[in-house]
Amino acid sequence: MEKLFSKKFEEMSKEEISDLKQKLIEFESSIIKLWENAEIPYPCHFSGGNEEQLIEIFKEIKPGDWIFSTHRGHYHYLLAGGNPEKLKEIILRGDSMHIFDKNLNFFTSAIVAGICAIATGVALALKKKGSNNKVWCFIGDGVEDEGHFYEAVRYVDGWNLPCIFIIEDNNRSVETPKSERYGTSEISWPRCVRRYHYKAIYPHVGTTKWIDFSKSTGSNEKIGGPSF
Amino acid sequence: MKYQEAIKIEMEKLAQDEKVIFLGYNVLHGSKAYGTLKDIPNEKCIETPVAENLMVGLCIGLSLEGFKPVLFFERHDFITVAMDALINHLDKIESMSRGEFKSPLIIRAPVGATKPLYPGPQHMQDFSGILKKIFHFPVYEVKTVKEIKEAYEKASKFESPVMIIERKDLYPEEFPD
Repeated sequence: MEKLFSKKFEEMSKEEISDLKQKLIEFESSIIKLWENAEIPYPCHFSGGNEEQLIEIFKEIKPGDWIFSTHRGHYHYLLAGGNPEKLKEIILRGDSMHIFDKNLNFFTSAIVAGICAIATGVALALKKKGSNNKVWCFIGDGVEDEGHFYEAVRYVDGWNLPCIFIIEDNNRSVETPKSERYGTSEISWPRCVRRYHYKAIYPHVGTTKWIDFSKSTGSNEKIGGPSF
Repeated sequence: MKYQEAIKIEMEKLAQDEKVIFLGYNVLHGSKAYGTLKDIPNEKCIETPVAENLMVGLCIGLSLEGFKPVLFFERHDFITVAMDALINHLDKIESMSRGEFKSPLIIRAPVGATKPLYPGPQHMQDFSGILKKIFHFPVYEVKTVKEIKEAYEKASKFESPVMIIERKDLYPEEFPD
């Protein structure tokens, strides 16, 4: 299977959209099954509850556009046209939080707000080149708590760069709602920032099931970070 | 040749490459990056806000779309503000993406001058030792004209990032070519 769908989203019937939604859920469920069997001894942040909103957004995303994703990126990759088998391999080798695909201009960072400045730089390059393509930068509402987001938004807005930040607002930073992080404060961001709300099905990481990973070995292709 | 003149020559050599673009603060105004970018055409320079993490992110993004940015930090001290973009992103992009993406950019991180004005604890720090340890990409300290030439020549050809640590106190000093 090359990708989950064969038609452009805007040409799909209601039934086909509903079928695509089901395929997304089935993919994630198949990964969850492996994870709950302790076959993926790595942090996995599962998507769920936002299928329809994402399909709606992806209708606007054109070939050649850049997509910046987060630690919770399985749905983004599939809707960008990523191959489900390839995604499964990526997840099994421990890269659920690090999905990259040059052919699809798909880039991820698992650092909160880490992609915002990079997405802005790509948008600056596209504008300098006179390209018609855009940058779509998916972020959680936790990113609104980070100063790095403000720098990027101000730059994109000030220079009118082709970058859209999409806040996937599940009112949760790890597990903490906005009211407990910043009181009742709501900020109005400029036009380059959009927001959709959804109710997450899964916890921040993993599922609600307790899994014993102590006997799992994992992949031979692990990459780690230095320590000093 | 003066240390500063040697850097200026290297900047002009880099500018021959159409992919090269200069970013930072004071690359279009003020010191025009301590005189080393004085003769670089304005259209090859992007003045940035004083938002160091954004500056590195902009350069990473530009490099992903085929540019080769040369990023100037006014002083070494200020790169600490950009450490998320430098350590968690720039340094990890190639390994984390399993070679799919590379980010060939040159970062100039001069150590601040101690004379004629002595700037105190936040404008003359030197982190060369720890930066060489923390990054996987090359970090070159340049203390002579010869080292300047070698470092920028290598950096111009690399597909990986390179950091070059100049010494502002050496700018007026004469060295053998």
